[in-house]
Amino acid sequence: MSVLDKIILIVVIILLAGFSVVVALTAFGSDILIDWLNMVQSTRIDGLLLVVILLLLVIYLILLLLGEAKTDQCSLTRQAALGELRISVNTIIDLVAENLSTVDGIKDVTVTVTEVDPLKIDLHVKIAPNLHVPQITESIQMQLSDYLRNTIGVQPEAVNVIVTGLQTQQRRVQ
Amino acid sequence: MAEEQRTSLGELKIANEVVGIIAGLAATEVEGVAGMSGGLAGGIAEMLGRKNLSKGVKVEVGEHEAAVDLYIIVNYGVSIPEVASNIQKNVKQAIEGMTGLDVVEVNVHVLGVNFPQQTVEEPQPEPPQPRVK
Repeated sequence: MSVLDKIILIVVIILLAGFSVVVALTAFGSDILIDWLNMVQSTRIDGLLLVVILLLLVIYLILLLLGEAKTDQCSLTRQAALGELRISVNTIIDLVAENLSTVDGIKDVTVTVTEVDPLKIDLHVKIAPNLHVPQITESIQMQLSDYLRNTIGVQPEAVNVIVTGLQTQQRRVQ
Repeated sequence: MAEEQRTSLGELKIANEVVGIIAGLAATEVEGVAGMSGGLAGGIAEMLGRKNLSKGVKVEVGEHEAAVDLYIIVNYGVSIPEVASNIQKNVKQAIEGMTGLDVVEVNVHVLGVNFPQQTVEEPQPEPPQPRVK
């Protein structure tokens, strides 16, 4: 669940809670809800607001459904003994990023999966200034290949390392 | 939809939900599985305090056969094919043992990785030497 989802969920829950309080008050004889409904009818401003809110809700739902369909497509599928094994692209990205966080001399790693079958990965990294670039990229590629073969059972066909810049800050911890 | 079987004394019905719960429990007890992923609707239900045992499980139950889709999150550091094959074995065994249905397919969808909470160990500063003895 993304942060946006959580925020919207919380807002919806608060609104629902508030609304149910109002409804409960109405049940006990309060006129708040009835007054508000009358006001909506007379002013039309709140009505407009409602339309806007509904519109936003519909847009969000469409985005959500599109996103879900997209993530469903973006997964690596393998045939296992008893059915399929699907590994989502997010999983692969998380695994690669975590694995590379242990490598010394590279920083700010951005992982993109450019193709799923065969697996192709792009890495945008910043590199420490005193390193031999071909050497470190080759070692990253080797390490990732091995790692992915061991964890997800698939060897990437290509691991492209794109060096975007120098890591300027020196690490304090030796 | 429920699975139905005629026996000599009446019929036996097993609801989809039951097969789902069996599959969910069998999957979560496999080592390396951090949990099931239930999507947004499941998240709302969970926030409202409803424990859903068949979260992240989709089942299709026919007359004699069942197919299961499992949406899982794995722990970091495990071999995913190995975990998946353990899940498939365990789920198949559990459903077949408890309901008698033939499990034809157990599809495992890995939706995410769970990283263990890293406890950063800060070096303890040495206690200052007392100036007076």
